[in-house]
Amino acid sequence: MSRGFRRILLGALSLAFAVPAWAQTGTGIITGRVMDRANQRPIEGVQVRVLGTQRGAQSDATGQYRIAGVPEGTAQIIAQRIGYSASPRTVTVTAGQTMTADFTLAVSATQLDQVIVTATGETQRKRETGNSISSIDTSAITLAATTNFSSVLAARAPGVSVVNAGGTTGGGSRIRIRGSNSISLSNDPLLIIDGIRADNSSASSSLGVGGQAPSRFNDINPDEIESIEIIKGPAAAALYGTAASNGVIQITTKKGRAGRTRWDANVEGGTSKDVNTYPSNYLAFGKRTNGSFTTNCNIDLQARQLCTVDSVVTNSPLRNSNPFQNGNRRQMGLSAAGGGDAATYFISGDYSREQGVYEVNHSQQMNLRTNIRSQLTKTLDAAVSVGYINSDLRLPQNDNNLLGVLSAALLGRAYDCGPSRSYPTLCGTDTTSRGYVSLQIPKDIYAINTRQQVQRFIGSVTSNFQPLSWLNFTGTAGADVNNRFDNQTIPPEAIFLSPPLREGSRTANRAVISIYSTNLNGTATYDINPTLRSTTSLGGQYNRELLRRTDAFGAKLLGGTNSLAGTNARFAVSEVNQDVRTIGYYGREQLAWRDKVFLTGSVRTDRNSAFGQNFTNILYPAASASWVIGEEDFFPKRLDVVSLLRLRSAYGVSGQRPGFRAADFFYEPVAVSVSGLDVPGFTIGGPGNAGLRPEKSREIEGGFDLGLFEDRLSVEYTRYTKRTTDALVQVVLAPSLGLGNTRFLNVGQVTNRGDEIALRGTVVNQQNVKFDISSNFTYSKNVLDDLGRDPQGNPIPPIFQGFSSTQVIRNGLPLGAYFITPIKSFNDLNGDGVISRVNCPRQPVVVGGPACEITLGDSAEYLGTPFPTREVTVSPSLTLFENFRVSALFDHRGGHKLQNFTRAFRCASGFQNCADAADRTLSSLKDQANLLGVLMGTQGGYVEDATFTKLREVALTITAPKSVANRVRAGAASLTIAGRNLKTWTKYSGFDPEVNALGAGNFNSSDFLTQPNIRYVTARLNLTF
Amino acid sequence: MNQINVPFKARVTRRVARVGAAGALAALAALAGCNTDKLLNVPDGDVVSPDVLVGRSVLPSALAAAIGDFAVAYAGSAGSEGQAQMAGLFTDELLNAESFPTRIEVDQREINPINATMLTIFRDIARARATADAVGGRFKEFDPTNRSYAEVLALAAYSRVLLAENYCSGVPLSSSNPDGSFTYGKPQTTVQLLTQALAQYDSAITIATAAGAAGSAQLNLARLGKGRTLLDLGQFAAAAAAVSAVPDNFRYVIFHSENSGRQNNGVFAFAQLQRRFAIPDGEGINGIRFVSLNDPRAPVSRVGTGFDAVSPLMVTSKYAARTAPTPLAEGSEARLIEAEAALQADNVVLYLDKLNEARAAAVKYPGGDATRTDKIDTPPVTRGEQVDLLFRERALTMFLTSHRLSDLRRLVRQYGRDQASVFPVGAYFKGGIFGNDVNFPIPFEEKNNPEFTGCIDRKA
Repeated sequence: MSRGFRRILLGALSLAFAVPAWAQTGTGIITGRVMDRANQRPIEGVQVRVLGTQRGAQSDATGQYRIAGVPEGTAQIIAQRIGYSASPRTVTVTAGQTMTADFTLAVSATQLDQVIVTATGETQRKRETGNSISSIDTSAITLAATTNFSSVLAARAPGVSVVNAGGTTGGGSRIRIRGSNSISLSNDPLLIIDGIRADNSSASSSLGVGGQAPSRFNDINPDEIESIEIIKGPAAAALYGTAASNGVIQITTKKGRAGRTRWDANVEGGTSKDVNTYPSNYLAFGKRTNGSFTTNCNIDLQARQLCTVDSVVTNSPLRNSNPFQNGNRRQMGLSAAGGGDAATYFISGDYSREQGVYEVNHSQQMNLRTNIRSQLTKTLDAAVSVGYINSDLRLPQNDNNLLGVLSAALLGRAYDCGPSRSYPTLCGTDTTSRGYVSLQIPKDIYAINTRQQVQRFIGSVTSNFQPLSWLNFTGTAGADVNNRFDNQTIPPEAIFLSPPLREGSRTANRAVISIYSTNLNGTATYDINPTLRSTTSLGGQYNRELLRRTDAFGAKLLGGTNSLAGTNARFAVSEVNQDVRTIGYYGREQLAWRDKVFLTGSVRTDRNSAFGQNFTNILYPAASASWVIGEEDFFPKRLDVVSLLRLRSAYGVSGQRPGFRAADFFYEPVAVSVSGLDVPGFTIGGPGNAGLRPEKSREIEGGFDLGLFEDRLSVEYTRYTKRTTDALVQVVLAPSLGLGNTRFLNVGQVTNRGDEIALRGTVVNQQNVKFDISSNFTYSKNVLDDLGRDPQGNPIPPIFQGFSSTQVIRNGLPLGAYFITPIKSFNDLNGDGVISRVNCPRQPVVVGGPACEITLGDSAEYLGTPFPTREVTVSPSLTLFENFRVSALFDHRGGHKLQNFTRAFRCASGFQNCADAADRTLSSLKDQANLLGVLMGTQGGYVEDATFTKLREVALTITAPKSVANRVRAGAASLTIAGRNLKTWTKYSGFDPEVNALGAGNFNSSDFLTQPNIRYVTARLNLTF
Repeated sequence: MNQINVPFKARVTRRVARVGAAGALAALAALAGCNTDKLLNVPDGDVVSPDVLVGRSVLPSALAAAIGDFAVAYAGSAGSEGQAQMAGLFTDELLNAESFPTRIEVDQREINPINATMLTIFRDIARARATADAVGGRFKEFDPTNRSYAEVLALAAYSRVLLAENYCSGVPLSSSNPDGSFTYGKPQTTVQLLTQALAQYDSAITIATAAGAAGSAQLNLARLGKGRTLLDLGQFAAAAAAVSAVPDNFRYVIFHSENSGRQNNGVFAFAQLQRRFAIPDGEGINGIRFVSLNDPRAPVSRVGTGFDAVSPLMVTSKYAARTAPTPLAEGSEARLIEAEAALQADNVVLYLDKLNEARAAAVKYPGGDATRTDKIDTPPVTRGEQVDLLFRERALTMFLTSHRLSDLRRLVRQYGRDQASVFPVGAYFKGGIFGNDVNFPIPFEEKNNPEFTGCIDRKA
């Protein structure tokens, strides 16, 4: 062994064990206690940081904190927690000594000095950014009232819209930040967890069950989250590059803190219930004009004098064979956090199980997390963040699916083909369906076993290296690797609806979805003069999104098996491989003047493998300004009302890449039967576009932060305009070309505008009474400015979508707008209590019948947007004697419509089994007109106002006195009883105005036989040791 | 120990700091300066790039591509209907037993040009035509005497014939170019399409004839296609001459397989697996009573109830499995063409002989009433009855093979029948009345072709 090598090895070993040494040489310890100024009680969870370094700690239940390894000399430290004003202090640290710095924090609704994480991995205070960034402090959320990550996010921040697609356990939600930018690509926000990109698919499954699909957002365990930051748009997200135009949800998981190990345990249990009332099915039996019997003498046929009613029969399959049960929810978690001067750790484990309101809808999930941070040397630290998720979800058949529970019932028969068999002729050989159109009761259909099993690893390593006091490097590398296994077993002789179902089958689709992230960033900070500080950052980023998927299917399953090994026919296998890579470089310069005025400029350039070969790179500039004018000397201090004012403005550009292979012309391999043999062939795959480039979203925003009444009330107002150009439009190709249906062109333009207001206030802060209230108001407007022109210069025609093509992508309208011929008027001219379409233009002529009683519009019209244009949330919270806290969350959304396709399809399709169709005494004239409208060619009557207000959450938390907690050897104990989805106020005629049969789909929005949201009541016990 | 090591560690720490700073800066610089082309070059093994589909060795795969696209367009698949079904739904061969409005429109003969189902089937037949043309070009370049070239030419011609027979006059034929640009086609009249098809059949006949006995299947396919085309053009004697050498037992079928949904028999899949289409019994007053006849060439039986939970699901054993082949050209069709030519020449004896030869040659499927194909001893008396018999024989012999719509149009165009006397008319069983369409419109999406403005003629 050479002398040099020996020295290096010795050096490395020494470094590894050197912490106590450096800790004693040139560094000291700062410790102290954080108290509430008003009531002199300790405050838990306060972040105490040494400014200019990565060193910090969090206060415990007694308010104590401890920061080790602080370089000797003068240190600026700051204590901050949402709800309190930040408090800076200067401490002189002596090497090897412990210094004390206590804080008393005043209640404050403003958040100017709250620390956020930037795109470069650095931290900065909110006052330094010109953007509106919403922070969600999970410690302030009653987790007992939430069911998953989406519900943690819902109604917490202005500009963030979360629509739960239904009451299916494990179903996803549609998440939008400041509206939809993209016509053709995903509008899901980018997800960052501890500095690395994570899978943000809101509908992640290769198996369809009718409409609902799991969301990868819900893999995240809310108990592991320390904070969530919402970076709302390109103005703030430019440095995130080609992925961030839909905004960014940035999650920081919990970290350990120096001191005694703190154990947190929680256990939760509760029930869930479907509280809806479902209608029965109806049919009018009667006689045709020739005297023959008919099972469907509906109001239209009656009016046309084609039949006369003998009797109206009714049946409720859901009552005959009730598929519902009370669900339940179980959850337990344990975490340990602690550490010493050298390293801190946070380790947690969480297990949850939810049984939905159908027997075959349940999920269980285990989340494990280990976060370790170590101060390796005085200048180098490293943090390792490792999360593991293991879940198993079983989904029911529903929505657009004849085997679905609600679908089969609500489209079912109006007579019971069960043991009673009141109508043996009509039932024929059917003795078991009980009226379900699936020919079997749901408990039989439950034989279909559709599951998704996920094993997901999200890990990152972040290291900060500060070789000089003014120079800092931050590097992050990590991966999100998701092993997803979608599988379905249909046992043989279990499902009778069609021969293939009866044969049984097995589907096993395995996918590995990986996202690799690497960031390296250097930041130099220097004081140009005593009042002007410059911060310069340069960095690079490499991301790789990888999909490896193999699908396999086999039919004719051997009974008793649930494996491909048991299948015997129609074997099918396919493979999908996708690889998208991004390389970006960025630079950022910030000037801070007197810590009151901040000017920031940045630019990022990206290259991406999904761009067309004729397009190389894209540039994303950004600039922002922030002025804490309220701290200026000239600002009138005599005004007792205004205690703080900040003005801010920002501009930025971000983008979104085209889909994998969208730019390429290619053929797909297919099997072909030639002379009775299966041989390899190919067919046209995609038409490609070599000039394809990313969508570009530019955003400008401005606003102010206002503190009132000594910061007890804060107001944040932001107005933004976001314009997406080069929007990818799936231009429909002339079918005579014989190519694919569409080709992407960068031709569209979309604009989102909006106003956001966040109010927070502490109305009362007495010794034994505290009343807080927060409220968010969002107004948003989305419009498609231009769908663009095709290469021939012709305007691209509107793109219709949704059930019955009721929605449209059309110039001048919101994306996905309902656009359909309306019912202009109806009038019971002959006073017979029935609206009739006879003798209307282009409708059946009945001599002697009434004159036309229903008038349609001449053509399709804009009837509304499926996305709420206004959202208001109000969250009051009352704390009594520090031990009792009652909170609630009211959630109002309005200005939007929803297609009640459930009712349209039941009433006016081939099924025609709703009361409106069968019995005029059970339906209003308007209901009849809506039904007849469908028969006349428009579903306009079923596009309904979907405005609603929901009492989303109510929670009561009882915190045990310390003496009581101590009896179970706990430092603290609390019990929360919470309810979710407790009450809905709406004029919508369907079951729930919040559902979507198309899950988290981009624009398609329809209530179609979807399980409505269910009510939860849970109890959660938290113990701290 | 500490007293000795501390200074050393401090030195190491400082050194690491300096080296680390330099390293981090170097890494940033390297990241900025490295050749990123390599990093961004993503291989894609799931699909085929056009630049590898060249040379003689790819011709077998290219032939399969042409056959595969034609199979989907003509006979459908598990996922989409083909011309055989939709022409059947439009006429009296099928009725709608489900709830999808786009297919109800077709059954009701009132097709909106924005009909998404019809867009798919038009795109499929356009693709079959474009693929066959492109593959024909490859054969011409790399192996122009190969008998498979004749087959590809015949499929290209059949694609044109189906476009001419089922669609309005004015179908454009467009193509994509190797550089990614498009060549948009002008609308072609029905006669123009058929004339192009004739030229392709003639080329196929030349190539197949030169191949000798090995090319007999391709030869007879082209001959039958030519005869069918000439019949469409009203050249009855020439049509009979074109098919005279086609033997009774000749069959060219589109094969299907359980191997993939794309290879499934579409008629079977949509009728028996998805329960969407059923066979009617005299649909719309004028329809043939397929159910009552239960002819062995088109036997019908009930297997339950349709998707709409109301319509009896009547299906045929002609297409009784995913693997059931779909006939494209058979010897029996040749005899029927000859029968029609004889009738046109007022040779009723020959007409009857050829009808009986066709009956004998026709494939009989299980479950039918065998007496229905007994020899006809005496011809109908009137000319109208003779025409009725001929077209009924054609309907039963070539049931659900996309002949019926062309035949109904020919009855109007060539035999002077009123369209209300041949197409389904009157009250439609799902509400309303039958419409007036006698052919398929070109989908609205074709407006993206700058050369296209609309159908030239929507008459029969």
